[in-house]
Amino acid sequence: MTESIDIHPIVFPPEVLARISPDISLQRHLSLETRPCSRGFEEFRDVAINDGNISRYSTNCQNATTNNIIGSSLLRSGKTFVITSITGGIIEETLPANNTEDVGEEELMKLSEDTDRLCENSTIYPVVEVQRGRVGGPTDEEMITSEKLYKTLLHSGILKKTALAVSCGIRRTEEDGSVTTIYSDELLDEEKKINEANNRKWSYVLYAKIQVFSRNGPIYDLCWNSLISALKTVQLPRAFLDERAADLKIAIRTRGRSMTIRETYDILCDPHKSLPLKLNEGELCYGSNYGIIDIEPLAQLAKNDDEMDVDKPTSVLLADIETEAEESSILSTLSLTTNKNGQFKAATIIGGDSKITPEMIKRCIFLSKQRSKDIESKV
Amino acid sequence: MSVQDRRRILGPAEAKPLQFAAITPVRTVENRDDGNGNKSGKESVFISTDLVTNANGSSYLEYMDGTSDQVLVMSSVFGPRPLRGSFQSKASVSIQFKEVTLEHLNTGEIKEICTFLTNVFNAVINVEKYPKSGIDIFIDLIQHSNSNPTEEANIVNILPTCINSITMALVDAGIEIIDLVSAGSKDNSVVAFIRNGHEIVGIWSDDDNVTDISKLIEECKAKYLVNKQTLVQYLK
Repeated sequence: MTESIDIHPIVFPPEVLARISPDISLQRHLSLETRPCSRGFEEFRDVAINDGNISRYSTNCQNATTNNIIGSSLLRSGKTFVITSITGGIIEETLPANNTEDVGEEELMKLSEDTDRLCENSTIYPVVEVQRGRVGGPTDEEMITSEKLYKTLLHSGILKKTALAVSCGIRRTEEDGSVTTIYSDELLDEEKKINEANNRKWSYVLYAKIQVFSRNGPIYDLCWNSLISALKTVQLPRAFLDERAADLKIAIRTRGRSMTIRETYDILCDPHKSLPLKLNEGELCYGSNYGIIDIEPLAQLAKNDDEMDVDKPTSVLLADIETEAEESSILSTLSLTTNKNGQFKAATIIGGDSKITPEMIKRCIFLSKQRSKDIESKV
Repeated sequence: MSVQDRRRILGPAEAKPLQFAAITPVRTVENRDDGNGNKSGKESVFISTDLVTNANGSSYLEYMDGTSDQVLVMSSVFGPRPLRGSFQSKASVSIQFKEVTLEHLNTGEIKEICTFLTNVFNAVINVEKYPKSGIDIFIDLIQHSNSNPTEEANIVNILPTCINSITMALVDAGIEIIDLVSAGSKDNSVVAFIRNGHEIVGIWSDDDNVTDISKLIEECKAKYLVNKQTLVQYLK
């Protein structure tokens, strides 16, 4: 009565197996001591970085007159490439009306500033976009990466508030119609008083637009490295006010009280003169990521019969996670941002299904320093 | 109710974008002279395909007109991929245009570009061949060196390169098209052709005073033939 059922093993070509069962595909690769991307376990992708000739201050820039990008970077890592363009804005800082009079106020501010180191640091407003062939709002990954970039830069101390302060100049129009612009650090002593009359403060605000193409792995480290290299190219244009606007006051009366207001006017940027953005060079650091995965004894390709009984699961450390197979099967990951001396700015360790041993963390730290050194030499 | 984007970190609302003072006219004239001085008169195109690995097909075109004008465009084709919803006997083609670095075009202009390109490629892609499918094309304008937010000629300068780039991306994706579509531009008009210039698949004109339309078409056709020849040479 019983019919015999023949079971035929189904054989898939490697690229099909990688799609339908990424975990088995990855395990098979690992047992051959290679990875789906055919790199070694601790081998990183090659990184190429340049400024992409996007910024108005790029050496070969063709459109300096209409370009408002002040810093840029084009980072390529394997097949993935990231284009970062930095634009700027100016914000007027709110100063207390009697900023020099009230000693107590100043003392209080100084006290609170000492405890709050963060208020000396500044950051950039990043918007990360990953090209994925869909339209619509930002994905979780894009939002999380933007937020992480924003916070890491703020806490890293790479960008200080003082570096973004605007030293405002005055534009004068002579009687013959010729226009000259004077900046306070270029002023002669007798002319300095022009500036003193004008006690307002501005600071630059930086925005980054980070576009990721051909994404095939975690993007945070790539975005961070691209952002840092873009920041290094930033030139802040010199800004000035028109002489006529600088000490213009209008008397007004409201509800029977008279006061003076200053007219709102725009601060303009010099199309030719610019200063490089001062970064805290000692704090610059670069990111890299790692994954740890257990080697499943069952998924191993048997080399020969003797080795079959070694069934102790060992785990391996993979550097620079790439491909869908690795990203979806590796749950224990590390993301480290450091400079070549091991000065850490950010570290994320996610313990997934594989145990992360102290030895592995030490190894990751060692590798991340090496990687940071390598990237630093290319920026 | 204040509308605020809570999903992106956009920075303080009261910050004003950098405004560069107008450059004195003397300087502009000098620039123009430099441009003409360096003019080799040769237009050149750099073509590369398969740059975007997670798309079905992609292309990257760099167009230089011999002066200072430089247009860098990247196209990626996603699809044919299944469409949700009710049965459709033809593929639906969608085209999205985006400026990667500078943002000089307004949303209205971008929408117009998308509509124009969608019309052109609906006529060229063999949509009957792909029922129940969507073909999504993304164009990323990486750089357009002569772009000026105050001038209107921007779009006309980039459209032929966009069309060429999409054609190459479609070829790279292996999507069936009835012929290589390419375009030529003259003054403020762009005409897209197929079949050696015997068929027109799209006309874009920002010019209000076109008097002789057949002359305009002939002039665009001459440029189309050059462009098409370049594409054919790359594909050989």
